[in-house]
Amino acid sequence: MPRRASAKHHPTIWIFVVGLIVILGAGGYYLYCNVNDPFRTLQPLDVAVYLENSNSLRGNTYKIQASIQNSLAWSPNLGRLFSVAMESGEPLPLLVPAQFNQINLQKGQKFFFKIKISEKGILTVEDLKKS
Amino acid sequence: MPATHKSISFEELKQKVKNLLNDVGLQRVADRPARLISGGQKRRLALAMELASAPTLLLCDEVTSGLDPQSETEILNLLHQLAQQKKCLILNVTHSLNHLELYDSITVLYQGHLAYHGPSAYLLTHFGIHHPENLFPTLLSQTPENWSAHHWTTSETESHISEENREEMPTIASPLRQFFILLKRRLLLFYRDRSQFALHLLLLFLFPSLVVLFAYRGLPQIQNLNMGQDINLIQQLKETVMFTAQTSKIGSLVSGLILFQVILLTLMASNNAAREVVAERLLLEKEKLAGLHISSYLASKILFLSFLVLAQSSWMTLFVKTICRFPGPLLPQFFLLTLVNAAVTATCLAISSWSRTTEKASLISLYIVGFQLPLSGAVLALPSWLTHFVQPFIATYWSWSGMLQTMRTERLYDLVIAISETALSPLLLCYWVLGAHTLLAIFLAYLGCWRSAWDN
Repeated sequence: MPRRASAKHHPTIWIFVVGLIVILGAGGYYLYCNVNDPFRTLQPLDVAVYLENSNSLRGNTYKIQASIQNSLAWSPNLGRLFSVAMESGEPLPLLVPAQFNQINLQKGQKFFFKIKISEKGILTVEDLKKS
Repeated sequence: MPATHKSISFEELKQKVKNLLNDVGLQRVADRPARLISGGQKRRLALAMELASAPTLLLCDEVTSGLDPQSETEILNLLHQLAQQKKCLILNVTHSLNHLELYDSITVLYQGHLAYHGPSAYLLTHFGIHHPENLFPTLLSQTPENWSAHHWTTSETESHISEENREEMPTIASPLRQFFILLKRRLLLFYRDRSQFALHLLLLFLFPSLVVLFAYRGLPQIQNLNMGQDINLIQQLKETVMFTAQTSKIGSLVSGLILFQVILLTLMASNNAAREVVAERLLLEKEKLAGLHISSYLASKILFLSFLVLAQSSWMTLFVKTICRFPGPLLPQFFLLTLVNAAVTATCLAISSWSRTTEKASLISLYIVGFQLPLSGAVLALPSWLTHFVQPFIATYWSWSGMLQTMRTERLYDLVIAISETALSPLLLCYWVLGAHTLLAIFLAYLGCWRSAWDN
């Protein structure tokens, strides 16, 4: 057999290379879709519905992405009440319970919030991650 | 080698020259200028020059062409003697069919096809001829493919090599043994090449020092905005202006420090691997013919380069973290800096394995590193349509983005986010992409080493 012929790569090698790229790319895409949003399984809060009739949503859990605006009230036992701005610009009141007191929340910081709408229609934070 | 010259005294050198001239039978014309000796004697002189380095392998290409029959006989006898006495393997490529009995083994190639390989005694029988002169006309009577097939079918039955000789034949070392031998050789060469060793040491200590120059007193504290509503509009505006200026200054500093670490590590990566394969390509090709396993070769390279990558990345992480009190967890930051170094080192190794010259490999590797900075989006945001095409391939972006993600709980992170228009990616994705870069580049390096570079 000629020496040069054996020195060339078999076509299956290149198929393997393409396959490897596809697998690595698909893995990356899967991570991109699933890791980017920490609360991906939650439904986003419909602000218009909430503002119109918050009682209708009570007991439900949603996610929102918003930035901290002002501190409205603070209690060592109940937690902190903030006004936050949604990405669309609408302001919302948000109660961050005392269990998150150790987290330094500052004006302008953006967060993913997992929120539960309590009995009186108050948005209570169950979990939060910086965005 | 210069070291050898220095270790031999003039008298020893003189004696060595005398011995070499005796070996090739030129002692009678030792005092004659080279231009005055005959063609056959010039061949002997050339042979003596080759033998000066006491080679174990001598490749002769048409060494007897143009010589008269007597000189040809003398040269072939001389080569035979050298092979027997000096234990030197001699490969002679020739079209001359004289004195075949002086060769231990003969290989006949016909248009790139192997037509015969075996002892000279069986050559005539194999081709069904009575005289070597008839070999070329006989070869022409059939196609190269037929001769090749003939050789492979008859070689099974002829069994030229006796069982005794088979045992004497050298065996190829196992892949594991090859790996350890190659690794030992690489480490020895690294240590012996003082200039390269010094350059690596210099970069190892100089580059982290360059980074800390910008923040040797540590990173500044942040003055936050008033969270209450008890201040008037003028105060709010003043605070906002102050905070914006602070964000721009500190955010740029933190982002720049991270980017600086990453870029300097990619530069070290380029220096690590750009010449690694291409500089010894000829040797690699010869060793491949001798039975070298590519996987052993590449594994030895990877382990050697891993030492460099780990040393550079760990020192960069620890030094900057200690001096600048850089925020964020140590281990994830170490992994990210190590991964970007590994990814670019592997990429440069792949470039090295596919390049024809060291200059080309070094240049392409430098371009790869040079493009990392503008295309990372860490300094200037790329247009969105370009981002999707380019970002997956820019290792710097993934390391910079991941490093920032490790500082997510820190206030400094907010400032960088506030000034950067380039979106960050999740930490896990950063690990994944850098790992994918490394894996893919290693595989491409494997293919690059596997391909034949004789055409180069």
